[in-house]
Amino acid sequence: MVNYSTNTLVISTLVLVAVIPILVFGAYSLDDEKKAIERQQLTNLREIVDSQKDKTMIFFNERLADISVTSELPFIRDNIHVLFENDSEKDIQTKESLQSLFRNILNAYNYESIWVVDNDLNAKLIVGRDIADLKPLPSPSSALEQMKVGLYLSDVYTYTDDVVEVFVSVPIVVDDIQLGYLIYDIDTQLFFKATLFELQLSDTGETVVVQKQNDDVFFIKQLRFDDARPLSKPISTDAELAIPALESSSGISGFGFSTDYRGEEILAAWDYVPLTRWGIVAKIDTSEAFASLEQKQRDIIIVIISLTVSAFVAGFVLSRIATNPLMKIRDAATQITKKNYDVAINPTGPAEQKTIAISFNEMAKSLKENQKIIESQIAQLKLTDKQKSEFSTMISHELKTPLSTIIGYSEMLKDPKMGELNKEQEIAIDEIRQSSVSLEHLIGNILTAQKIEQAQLSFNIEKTSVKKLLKQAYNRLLPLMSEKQIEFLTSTEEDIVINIDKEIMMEVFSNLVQNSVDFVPASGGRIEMTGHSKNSDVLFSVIDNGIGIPKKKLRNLFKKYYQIDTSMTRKHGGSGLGLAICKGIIEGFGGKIWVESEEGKRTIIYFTIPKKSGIK
Amino acid sequence: MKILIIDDNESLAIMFSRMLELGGHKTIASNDGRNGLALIQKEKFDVIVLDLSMPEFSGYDILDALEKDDMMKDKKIIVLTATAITQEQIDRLKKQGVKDVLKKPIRPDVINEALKNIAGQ
Ligand SMILES: Nc1ncnc2c1ncn2[C@@H]1O[C@H](COP(=O)(O)OP(=O)(O)OP(=O)(O)O)[C@@H](O)[C@H]1O
Ligand SMILES: [Mg+2]
Repeated sequence: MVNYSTNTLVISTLVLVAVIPILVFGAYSLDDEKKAIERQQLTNLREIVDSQKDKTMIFFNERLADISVTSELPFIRDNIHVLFENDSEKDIQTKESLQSLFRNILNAYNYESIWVVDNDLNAKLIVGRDIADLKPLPSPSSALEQMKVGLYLSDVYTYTDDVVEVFVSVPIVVDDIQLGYLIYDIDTQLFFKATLFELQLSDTGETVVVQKQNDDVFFIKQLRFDDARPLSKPISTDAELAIPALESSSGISGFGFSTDYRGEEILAAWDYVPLTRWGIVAKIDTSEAFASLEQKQRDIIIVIISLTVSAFVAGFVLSRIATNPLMKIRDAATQITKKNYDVAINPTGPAEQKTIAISFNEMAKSLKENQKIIESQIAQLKLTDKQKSEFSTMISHELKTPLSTIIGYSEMLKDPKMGELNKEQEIAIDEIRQSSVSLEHLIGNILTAQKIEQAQLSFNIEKTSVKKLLKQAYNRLLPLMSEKQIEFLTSTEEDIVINIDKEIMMEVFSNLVQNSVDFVPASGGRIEMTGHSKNSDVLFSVIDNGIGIPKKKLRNLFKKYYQIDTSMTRKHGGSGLGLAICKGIIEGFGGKIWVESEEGKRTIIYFTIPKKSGIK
Repeated sequence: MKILIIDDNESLAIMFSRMLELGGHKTIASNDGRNGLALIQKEKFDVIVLDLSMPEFSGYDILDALEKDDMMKDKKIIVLTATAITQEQIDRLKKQGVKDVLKKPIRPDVINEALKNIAGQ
């Protein structure tokens, strides 16, 4: 991340600068465009519906007008009754004349057929297609049933060969008596072809004509995207589909988004034609209507992509140009952090970059030299440190052997078997022995302190009871009490178990008790070691009734080589290591050590050891 | 008891001899590891007091040699050391057959106590 921050910054800035305005602009303009297209398309569709409606009305009104005129032609008016009478020679002639007149009318107006029927719908005269060709359903009778008094435009019906027709019926009244009907058959397909109905608006545009018959709504014109013949199947009235068709057939007009008989999303306008009782729908698929929009969307995406790509390229190139020397320095700096100082950079490019490179090289060089010096110094320091500690360890050990001899002889001299000593000799030997012992103590402390410092103290942890621990310390330290007249006690309870290195704990008790011994009065001294359970710890203490420690000296008590300068301390000797060692050991076990003291009265050293201690 | 003392420090060895003689024992002192081992192989001692850290041929070397020759069983050896010694090292020594491990400086009462313990075994 850090490595490429410059590149990333430049590139992303460019991308943002280029892409965001286009995105915003694109979104706005696309939305506007969509609304505009919708508006325009709907206007267009409504105009189509309007004109279709107009044309239908005009066409059928003209037909009705034609038919009312032809039906009232004097020859027809005067002779039509002949068709309802029994044959006579004269009538046959009239019938033939009527027949040829109707045929002329049929040809002149492009009717499919012209029938004369009686009130029971029996055919008296047929020109063109036979009435018997009408499809059984709806039955001819029911079709003709509708043809009531006056000029009447029927629903749409089909013949057996699915030719779709509209009938106009005119009642035949002679001398106020209705004899039957004159029926004109108008070919709707011809009408649809002749007018604009068949005009297909673009790829998916379509005008649909429907009619409600009884409770069903039928398509009465061939569908563009369905091979089913007109009137062959009703539109399901509870369908979500073809709502414009359903609505228009029942007299409702409208426009907007919808779905058509195929389930396609469409934009549509629809209206009702009262004269024919038809619904007319003009529609177009939204996919086509908004195709230009999609094209535009695609264009915008392409623009965005190409802009992003070029922004990337530009950004990369720019940042490369701007940062290349910097990157070299960066890489070199990384190398330096890995202690590889041989990273001279070739100083190229503009003046200031050259300067940077040169300075950088100088820096690397001097770093390398300094590093060498530091490393050799560290090596030296390490060596002397090691030498120092090895030396003092060696000294301590070397001291121990002769010390053993001294202590051994001074102890032995007390034995009468070695020969009687006079009083003065005895005192001298005692002094030798005591000095040797404190020397031994000192050596022991120096070694322990060193080990604590080097974390070399190896522990031998075992489970033991506090009672046993204190008992052992008591036995070991009891000889110290012979110097003075001291009451030495322990206090604990049964059953406290602890994990601890006993030998090291002996060292702690020995240091603490040794101090106490030196600071209690020559007679009436009292030293007590206690160990009591306290939560998950054992709280130990060494209590004495000695000279105590001044308040302001308490703070430094546990520091190495710290001693309080009094005549008593001078007599006490020591090196000031004892308490520091105790602290090191106790903390090594995860415990704490502290002191409470009242000058002239008592000193209590407290310390805790976690029962489950082990080592920290 | 007849006791062999092996310690490279001559005066310490002498001091030990004197100390043990005061306790009524017979002692022989050796200041050299190899010489000490030869003595052990040649003569029979009731107790051997052995310093661990000696130049050239140390107490450890003597113990290893004895162990190799399967001579540890009937030997009663007390080991002396000036350096701090870990419990592990003590355990290892005891496993080898060492009877006791004492830390320098040694006091008469301590060594006498140790001898008494061994004699009792
Ligand atoms: N129980 C005590 N009563 C009075 N003063 C004490 C007591 N314990 C320690 N001190 C004081 O604290 C100082 C530091 O004690 P510490 O045990 O750390 O060193 P030391 O006893 O002087 O030397 P070392 O223990 O190394 O022989 C002592 O010199 C003494 O002045
Ligand atoms: Mg002390």
